[in-house]
Amino acid sequence: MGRLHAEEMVLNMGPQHPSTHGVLRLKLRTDGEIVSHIEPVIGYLHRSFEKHAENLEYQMITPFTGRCDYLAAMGSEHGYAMAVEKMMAIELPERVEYLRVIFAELQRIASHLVAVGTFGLDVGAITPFIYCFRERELILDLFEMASGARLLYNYIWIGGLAHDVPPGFVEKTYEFLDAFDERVAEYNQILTGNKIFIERAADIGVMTPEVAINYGVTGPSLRASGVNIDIRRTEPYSIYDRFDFDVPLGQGLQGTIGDSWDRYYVRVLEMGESAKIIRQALDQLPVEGDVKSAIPRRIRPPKGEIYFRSENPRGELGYYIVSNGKNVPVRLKMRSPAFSNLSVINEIGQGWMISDVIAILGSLDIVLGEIDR
Amino acid sequence: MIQLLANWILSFDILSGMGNSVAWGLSLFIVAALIFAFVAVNAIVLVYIERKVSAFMQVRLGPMRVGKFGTLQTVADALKLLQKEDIIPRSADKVLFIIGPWVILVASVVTFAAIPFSDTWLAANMNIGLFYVVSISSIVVLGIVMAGWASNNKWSLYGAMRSAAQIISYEIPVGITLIAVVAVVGSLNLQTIIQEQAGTGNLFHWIPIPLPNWFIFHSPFLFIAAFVYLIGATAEINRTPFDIPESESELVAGFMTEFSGLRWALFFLSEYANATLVAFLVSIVFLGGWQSPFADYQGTQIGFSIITLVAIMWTLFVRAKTGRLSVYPLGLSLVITISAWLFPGFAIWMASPGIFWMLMKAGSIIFMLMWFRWTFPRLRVDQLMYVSWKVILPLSLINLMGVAIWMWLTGEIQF
Amino acid sequence: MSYFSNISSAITTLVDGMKVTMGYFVRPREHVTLQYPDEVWPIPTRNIGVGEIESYNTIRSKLVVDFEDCIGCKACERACPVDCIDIETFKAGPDEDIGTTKNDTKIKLRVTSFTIDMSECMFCDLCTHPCPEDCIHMTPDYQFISNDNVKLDVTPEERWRDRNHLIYQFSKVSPIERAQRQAEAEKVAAAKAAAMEAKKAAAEKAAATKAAQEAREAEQAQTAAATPEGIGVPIAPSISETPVVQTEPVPVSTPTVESASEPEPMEKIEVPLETISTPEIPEVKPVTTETAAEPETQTEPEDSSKGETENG
Repeated sequence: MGRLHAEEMVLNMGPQHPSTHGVLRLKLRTDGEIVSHIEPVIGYLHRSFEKHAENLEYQMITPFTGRCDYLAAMGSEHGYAMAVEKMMAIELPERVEYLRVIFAELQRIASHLVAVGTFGLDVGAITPFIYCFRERELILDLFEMASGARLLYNYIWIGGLAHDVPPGFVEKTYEFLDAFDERVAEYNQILTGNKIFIERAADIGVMTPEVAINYGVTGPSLRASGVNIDIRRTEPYSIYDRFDFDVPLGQGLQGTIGDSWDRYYVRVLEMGESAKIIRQALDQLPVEGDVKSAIPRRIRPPKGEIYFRSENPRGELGYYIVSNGKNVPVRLKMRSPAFSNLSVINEIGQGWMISDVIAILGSLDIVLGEIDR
Repeated sequence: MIQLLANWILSFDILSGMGNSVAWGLSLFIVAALIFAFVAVNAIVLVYIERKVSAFMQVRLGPMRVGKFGTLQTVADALKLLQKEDIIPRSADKVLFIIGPWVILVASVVTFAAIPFSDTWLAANMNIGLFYVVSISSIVVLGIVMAGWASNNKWSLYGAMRSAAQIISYEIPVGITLIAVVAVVGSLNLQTIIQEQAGTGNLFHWIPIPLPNWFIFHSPFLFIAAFVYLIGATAEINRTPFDIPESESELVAGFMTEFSGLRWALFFLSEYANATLVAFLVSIVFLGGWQSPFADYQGTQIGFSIITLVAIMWTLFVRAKTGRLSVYPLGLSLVITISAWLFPGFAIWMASPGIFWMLMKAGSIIFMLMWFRWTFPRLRVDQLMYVSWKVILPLSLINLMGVAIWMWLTGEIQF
Repeated sequence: MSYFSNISSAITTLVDGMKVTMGYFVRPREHVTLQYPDEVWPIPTRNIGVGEIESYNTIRSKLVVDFEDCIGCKACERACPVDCIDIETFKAGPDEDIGTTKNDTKIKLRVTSFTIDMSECMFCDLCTHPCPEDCIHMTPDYQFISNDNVKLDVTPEERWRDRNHLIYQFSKVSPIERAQRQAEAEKVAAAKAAAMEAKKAAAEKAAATKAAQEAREAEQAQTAAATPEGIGVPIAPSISETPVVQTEPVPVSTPTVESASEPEPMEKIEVPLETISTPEIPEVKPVTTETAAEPETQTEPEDSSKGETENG
C-alpha cells in the first residue's frame, strides 16, 4: 500500500477575520488543523506616522502618537512628551507628574481590560468581553471628564497637560477604584478560573524567557515568561519610584510558565497593581500647581538625539528623536511593543492548532495601529 | 393525529364525499404544514428570546426598536434575509450548494413528526419513535458536509469536517444514554415513554421526597444520564461550548461562511429547530413530556407554596449576601401561588397534562442551552473529542449498567 | 486521579461562571445600554476656567467659530496638524470699520472666508488654545447629521462632493464681496509685482543677493540674542521668520499673531516678540508681495523652518 500523500494547505487568515485584532493577515501553513508555519503580513493599517512626524511641529505630533496605539493613547502621549521634555530639560510641576501617572495607569487598566476581554472573545467567551468593556467605559468617562475626548486625548502636552482636571475628578476616580476590585473578582469567576478557558489557554504557546528576550518581547508578555523587567521599576521614569507596587510575573499556575494563560493572568494582576498606583497617586496628589506653567513657548529641542522608553500597556514604547534644533524633528522613530511582540508568533505558534494560534495571538495583545504605525 | 384530522374532515357533510384516502392525504399535508409553521415560528421566537437572554446576561437591553421591546425585530430580520440577493460563489459546486441547506432543514423538520406535543398532538405514533428521531436528526451532518464542501472555501471545509467529526462522535454517547431509558421502559415509542412517567413517587425510589415519577428522579444514574444527554445534545446541535463547526472567532462562520440570504436563513432555522428538538427529547425522555409535575389541584397548591417558600428564602439569602433585592422570581411565584389557591380552576388546569407543560419543559431546557452559550468559552477540536470519548462515553456506559443494576435492586425487573 | 479532579473542577468552575451570568440575568435593570436618540449620554461638565465661553467646558466635538470675534490672525490655521482650517483675509481699507471683538480688540482684517472641514478635523483641540480672542472652540455637538445642503464656495475639484456638507463656512462675508476683494487684491499685487520687477531689473542681481545674505546674517545674530526662552540653545535662523500673511505687504498686528500660538497670555510675551519681528519686516517685504494673492504662505516662525527643512 502506498503512503497517503498529503499536502500542506496555505490558509489565509485575515486581513478580514474576526480574531486578528484589526487588519492583520496571517499566512498559515496548515496540515489539517495543525499549523506548521505562521507568517504575519502587516501594513494594512500603515498611516506613515514617522513620516508625518518629520513634517510636523513637536506639539502637533502629540495627537498622532495617540493614534498609533489607540487603545493606550495616554501612554503613548506620556512617553512622547517625556522624551521631548528630557531633550529640552524641562522640570515639571509635581501636580503634572502625578496627574500623568494617574492617567497613564488608568489607561493601562483600560487597555488591559480590552486585552482580557478580547482574549476571552478569541476563545469563544462573549460575555466577559462585554463586562470588560463596561468597566472600560467608566475609565473613558474619567478621561472624557478631564480631556473632553474618549479615545484619542491629546491631553498630555509637552511640558504639562492641556488643562487641569475638573473638580470632582479625584472623587470620581476613587469611586471607580472602589468598585473595580469587585469587578475583577467577577472576571476571575467567569473567565480566569473557568475550566474550559484554562484548557484553551494553559500550556498553549509557551514562550520561554530565552525566546522572549531573543525576539524583543516586552511588557506583560515578557513578564509572563518570568522575566522581571518592568521599565517603571528597572528604570523609573516620571515619579514611578515613589509608588509601592508589585510587578506580577508569570508563575505557571495552571500550566507552564509563559503560556497563554500566564500572559492573560499577568494582565489581570497588573490591573490591580495599576489601581494600587492610582490610589497612592491620588492620595499624594498636590492640590496646588499650574499644569501649564512649564509648557515651553517654543518647542525647539537642542541639537541631538534621544531614545526614551516607557512602559506602555503592551510593553516598551520607545521614541527615538533626532533634532537639529528646529521646531520639527529630523527623524522620529517609534519602537512599538506590539510589533516586536507579534514577531514571536511563528516561534511560539508553530505546531499548534488553528484555534490555538488564535488564542496565542489574543494573548499577545497586539494593536495593529501600533504595528503598522 | 392524522387519522383524527381525516375523520374530522370527513365529518363535515360537504367534505364527506371526497373519500377516505383523499381526506387522509389532505390531513397529512395539513399536519406537515403545521409542523413546518411551528418550526419557522419557533425559530423566530427563539431568536428573539436568545437575543434578549444574551442581552440581559451581558448587561445590555437587546433589540428594543422594532415593535414594543423589539418583539418584531426577528420578523424584520427574517424579511430582510428573504429579500437579500441570492449569491452562489462562482467556483462553488452549485448543486450541492443549493441542496445542502435544504437537506439540513428537511432532516431537522422531519424529526418533529414523531414528537408528541401532547397525548393527542402527535403526527405519527411510531413504535420506534426514539430510534427514528435519533437516526433522522443525524442526517443533518450530511447537509453540513455538503454545504461546507460545496462552498469551495477553506474555512467552510474546516467547519464541515469539524462538524462531521463532532456529530458522529457525540451520536454514540447520546444513543447509549437514551438506551438507558429505553431499558427502563422497554419500548422505543415516545408516547409510551411519557406515559410510563405518570404519577408521583419517591426520589430515587427510596428517599421519601414526593416528586413526579419522571425518569430524571428514577435513579441517580438516570439523573446523571439526563445531564450527560444534555451535554451530548449540545454538542450535536453545535452550540457553545461545542460550537466549533461555526466557531466565529476562528473559522469566521464555519460551513456557513459563503451563504447569505435565504440559504443562510435556512441554516438558522434548522439550528433552532434542532435546539428545540433536543429540548423536546430531554423533556420527553427525562422530564415526563406533557405530564404535569403536579398530581392534582391540591398538589398544585402545595407545590407552588413550596416553590414560593424557596423563592422567599432565596431572596433573603441574596439580600443578605449582596445587598441586592431581586423581586422578579419572588413576585412571579407569589402571584402564581395566590392564584392557585384562589382559583381552583387554575390549579386544576395546571395539574392537567397537555402541550403547556411540554412547552414549559422544553423552554427551560432551551434556556439552559442559552445560558451555556452565553457563559462558556469554546472547546478546542481535540478537547471536544476528549470530552466525547473519554468522559461522556464511559459515563454513559456506566449509567447504562448502573440503571440495570438499580432496576434489579428495586425489583423492577427480576431474573 | 487527575482525570476525576479535572471533571470535578470543570463542573464547579463552570457552575461558578453560570452564577455570574444568571446574577445579571435576574437583574435586568443594571443594564448599561443607552437608547440613543431617546436617551443621550450626559455630557460631562468640565469647568476648567478657560475663557468665558461656557460651551468650551464640555466634550470635544464640532469646531465652531464665533465669527464676530475673529480677528483673522490665522493662529488656529497654523496650529492645525491636518490643515482642516482654511482662512482667507484681506486688509480692511483705511476708512473701513469692521468692529471690535468682545475683548475690545480692533479687527483690522476682513475675513472673507473661514472654513473648517470637519471631515478632516481630528478633534485634537490644538487650534483652540492659541486663539487670542477665544473665539474658536469645540462644542459638544457630536451629531453631524443634517439634511440641509450647506452651500459652500469651496472648489469642487478640491473637495469631494459627498463630504461638502461637512465643510463649514463661518465667514459672513458675501461671495460677491469676497470676489471683489480677491480681484482688488490681485490688481494691487499685480501692480506691485510689476513695479518690483522693474526695480529688480534695474538693480544688479549679484548685489541684491549679497545684500540679502548680509541682512540674513544680521538677522541671525539678532534672533539668537533675542530668544525669549531660557533654553540656552541658539535657535536656528530662518529667513521667513516674519508674520506677514496678508496680501498687503505690511503685516497687521504682528504681536497678536505671534502671541496667538502661545498658550500664555499675550501681554507677557508681547515685548520680546516685537523686538524680533519688527526689524525684519522691510527685509522680506518683496517676498510676500510676490506670493501675494495666496494667503497660504506659512509665516509663523515655527513654520518657517519647516519650509527650510523641506528645501534642505
